[in-house]
Amino acid sequence: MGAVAAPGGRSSGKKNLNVELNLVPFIDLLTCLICFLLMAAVWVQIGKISVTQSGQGAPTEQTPEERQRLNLVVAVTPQGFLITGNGQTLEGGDILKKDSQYDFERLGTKLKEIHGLFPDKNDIVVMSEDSINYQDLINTMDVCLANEFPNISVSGTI
Amino acid sequence: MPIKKPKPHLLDSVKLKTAKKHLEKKAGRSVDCSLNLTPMIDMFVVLVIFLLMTFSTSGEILFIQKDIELPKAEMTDELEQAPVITIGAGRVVIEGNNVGRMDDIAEDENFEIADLAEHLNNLKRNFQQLHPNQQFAGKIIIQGDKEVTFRVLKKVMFTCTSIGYTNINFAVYPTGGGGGPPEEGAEEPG
Repeated sequence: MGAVAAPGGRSSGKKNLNVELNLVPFIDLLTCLICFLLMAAVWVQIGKISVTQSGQGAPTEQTPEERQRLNLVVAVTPQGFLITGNGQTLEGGDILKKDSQYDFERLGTKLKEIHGLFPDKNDIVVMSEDSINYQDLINTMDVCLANEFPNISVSGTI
Repeated sequence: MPIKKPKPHLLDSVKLKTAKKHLEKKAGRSVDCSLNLTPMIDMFVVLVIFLLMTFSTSGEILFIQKDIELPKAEMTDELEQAPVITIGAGRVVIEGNNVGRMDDIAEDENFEIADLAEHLNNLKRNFQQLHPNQQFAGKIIIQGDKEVTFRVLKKVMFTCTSIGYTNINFAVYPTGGGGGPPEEGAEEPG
């Protein structure tokens, strides 16, 4: 522990100023804290992707503004992706698989381009065929989220 | 002369001077030894800081079964407490109750899984009885194996939505990239 020199340099004959801290309670506290934290620790981190099912609830009458809005759909098929807006395939929206792998990079580029044209749009429908793997579906939703389409609906009706 | 029991005494070889020194503790090394505790406390502090940083207040929400491998995703949010539906290892399970085999569910023409609907209805009723003043959030966690096909998944999702669990959360392994964008429809009532 640190020593404090007596003022004036006359240390001889003075009271010793060295103080030994009592570390035992501090070590006890740290040990208890470590035990608690080790027991309460979560070693596997799990995240979530939130979605809604498309077309839920009773059908409602659409207003003219709603009819004019872009209804953006990404269809996941065994051949690749198909991006449609209001039922029409968008230009460059047919993204086929590359080396039998889904081309998520091109999907991302296309979605970014669409978001640039419609900056207020934040909802998207992901349609999938029955045979599509869960991992591919999650990857598609991940790309949608990364390109600022946070409101994802999932639909199975192709 | 009677024989007496010997008492402790010095050997002839030990000089009186040496004995005196020993008794006065002036000779020989002291047996007191102070441990250097500083590195141990340093290590403890580092460990506590690390554990505090990784501490999660929500605790363990999901129990990962060894035969289910979750998909990976980058844009994820933090998982919240909700009923868990597990799809994988050939069966669909809700909160530990088996509600059907995946093959049967995939082949079934009905979209709604009857057993799952019944369990979800019970959970919803329980929630409404236990929290009469709270709005039903309709949150559900789907913990699916990455190889599960959408045929099964859509039926599970349809059943959840038909009961009122509209806020569906897919459990995934985060692969970095930070949290996702804010969810606007997350607090929708069920």
